[in-house]
Amino acid sequence: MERDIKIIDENSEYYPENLRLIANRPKQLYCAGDLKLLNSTSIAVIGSRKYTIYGKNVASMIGSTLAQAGVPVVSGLAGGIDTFAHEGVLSVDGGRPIAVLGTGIDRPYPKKNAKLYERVLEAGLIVSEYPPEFEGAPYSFPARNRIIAGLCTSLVVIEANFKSGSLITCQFAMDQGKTVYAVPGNINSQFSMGTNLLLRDGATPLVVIDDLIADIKKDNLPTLEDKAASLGEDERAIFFVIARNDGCSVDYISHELNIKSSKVNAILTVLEIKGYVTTFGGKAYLSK
Amino acid sequence: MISVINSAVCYGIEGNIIRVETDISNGLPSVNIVGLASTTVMESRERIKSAIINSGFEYPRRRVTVNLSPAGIRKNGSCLDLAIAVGLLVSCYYIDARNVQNYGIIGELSLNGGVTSVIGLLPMLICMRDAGITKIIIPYDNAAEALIVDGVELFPVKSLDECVAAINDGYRAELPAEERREKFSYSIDYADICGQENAKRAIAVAVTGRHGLLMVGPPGCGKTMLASRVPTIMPDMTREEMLETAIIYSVVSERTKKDLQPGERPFRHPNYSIGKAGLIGGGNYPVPGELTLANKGVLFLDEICEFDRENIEALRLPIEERRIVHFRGGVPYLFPADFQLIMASNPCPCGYYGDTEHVCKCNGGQLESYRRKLSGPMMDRIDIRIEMEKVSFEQIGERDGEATSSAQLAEDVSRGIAFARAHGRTKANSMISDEEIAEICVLGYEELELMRAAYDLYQMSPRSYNKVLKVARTIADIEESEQISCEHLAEALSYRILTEINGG
Repeated sequence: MERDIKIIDENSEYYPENLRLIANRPKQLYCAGDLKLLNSTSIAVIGSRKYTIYGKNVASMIGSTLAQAGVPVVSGLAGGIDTFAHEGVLSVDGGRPIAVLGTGIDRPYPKKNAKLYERVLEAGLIVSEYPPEFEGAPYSFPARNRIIAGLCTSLVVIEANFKSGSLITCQFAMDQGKTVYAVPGNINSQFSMGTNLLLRDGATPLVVIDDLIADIKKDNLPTLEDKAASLGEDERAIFFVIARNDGCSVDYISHELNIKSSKVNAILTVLEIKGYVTTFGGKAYLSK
Repeated sequence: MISVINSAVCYGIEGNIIRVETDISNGLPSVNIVGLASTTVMESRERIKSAIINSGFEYPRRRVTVNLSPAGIRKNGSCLDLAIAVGLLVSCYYIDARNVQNYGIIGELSLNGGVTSVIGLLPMLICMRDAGITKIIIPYDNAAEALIVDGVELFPVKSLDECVAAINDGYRAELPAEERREKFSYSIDYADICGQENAKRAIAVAVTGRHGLLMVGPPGCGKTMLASRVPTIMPDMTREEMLETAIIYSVVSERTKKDLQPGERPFRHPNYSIGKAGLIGGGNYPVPGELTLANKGVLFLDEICEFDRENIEALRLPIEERRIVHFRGGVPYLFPADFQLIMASNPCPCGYYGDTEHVCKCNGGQLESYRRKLSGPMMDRIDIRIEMEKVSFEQIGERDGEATSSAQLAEDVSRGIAFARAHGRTKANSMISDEEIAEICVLGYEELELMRAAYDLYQMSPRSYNKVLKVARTIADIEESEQISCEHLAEALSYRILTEINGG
């Protein structure tokens, strides 16, 4: 297969900052697709090759929800949960999948995922630390798990038996200080044994998918100044009066800034439409 | 001989000419009054007899027949006493029959021959004047209120004697001086209220466009003070408005009459315990209710959620048509009801919902039913809604001398009204129909975009959308702007009506 394959070494500007921080980092990465994804804020969605219908649904649901929120999703292009996670992402227009291979960059594994490989390549990025034509080895698959853990900001395990390779990825992620979410399963299900054990040991239960997105967004909360950047002069002044007082009346703003109350009212409405403030019971508050 | 005297009775707030025909013929002494006279009129026989005798005239010891024409309509009230007595005296040749036909005669008699005041004098005066009868004898006690009617020659009399002298000799007692004040000066002013500048502005906008206004706020935030000062920023009363108001107050009880000074705009503040008839008027012979008494002035409904739903429903049609029609015996009685509507409500039954200092004690069910009253049909009558909070002590101290006065607000109001008039709009903006809106409230591209965003954000209905447009038109009028700008719309949006008390 002839591919436009790039080699990213530690000196490249594309080399993921996240990977620089981990132990035993790859010296170089073979990449195909959108290199910008290497440094994006992404979430890893992983799980075992064996799955139940529950795991399948949850994997594709999380994949598509994250894609809708514009969050890139890292997985391993393996069979089972990995496949469904990638497919979930690809089901959304503009979804960004990232696949980290345990084989050479041009060798999709398992072979039946060749089609998925093409789609991932087209929409996102394929990464491997192994040169082209490498067919994979028993050690190479667990090893690539440290790259999956390294690339993402947080990691979700959908289903895993207690011997699953996913647990190795979790171990890497925890060692790297990433948040690990585990999807709770029935306690009599073999397929959820690993995830439930993770939960027992202190992983975060994934109860609401939006938690994942909120978690990412929390890290990049804009400051008041950032928020007010696009506001006009009067709007800005009013915005900060409200911010200082944690909610205040039109009369108060009008008095504080010496602006007529009719104008304050008009500006508040505009701010409300723009989504900066909320009014309730005659007072204006900053929107959360 | 037969005599004919011009008099009048009052139906609702309209007068009707009554010709009192008196005939004295041979027969057993008796007095018969015919022509659908009510009990009050029939009883006048006894008053008239005593009054005539006690005034020093001889009472005819023959058969007297009095016909009240037109005979087909019911007559009520004591205002025909004097006319019937004069008719008798004419028939007895005490009064010159040629003179009497130029006069209209209105008054009630007391047994000693004195003439006492009547209710509903103004409508009677006006219908007589319109019928070409300009010399009118009226009770002296009513003289002061009668002065407002132009084009009549008034002969106020204190007794039957004076009445006879007026007709025979042209005796005319001096009229009290009329207080023709160009401008009524109110003893209250918006400058009395510290803070609440936002509410004052909203009130000025409401008055300019005649928009119904609802104030929502905790007890003690100044809702009643604000409302009672609304008349002080309305335009000065025109002569026609004063007359219209005077006519209404002429047909109500003496006590109600005292509520209003000449030139003052009415401010009616009925308690929520009021009955339906008290609000819209009623009775066997209909008398005006609070809505009509507030005509050309302000109707303030405090604690609107405490009013009976039935009473609230009764307000809908009058507010829309600006008048009330009562039917009695197939006859319509028209009462005007053209007023500025101001309503106030607590945010919840205990009044402290949303307050930062007090704990609201209402349970969910109470809140729910309270809010339901604040929504629906009632809110259709309202264009502007403001939320208020209590003025803090610091605000009272700090803002001395800063409070906007009535004069400043009145200036805004008259500027807005004048601008609308100058652009050919004589109707209040709240009365703009849905068909006219596209023509009068034109929006530019940016303005449409703003409204599109607001429509979705606030989940507005087509009705509330139109209301915002009308209020924005009023704000633009105050700012003397031909175009409605984004700023006008944005301010109007801040006064918008919510579908429920705290909902979007």
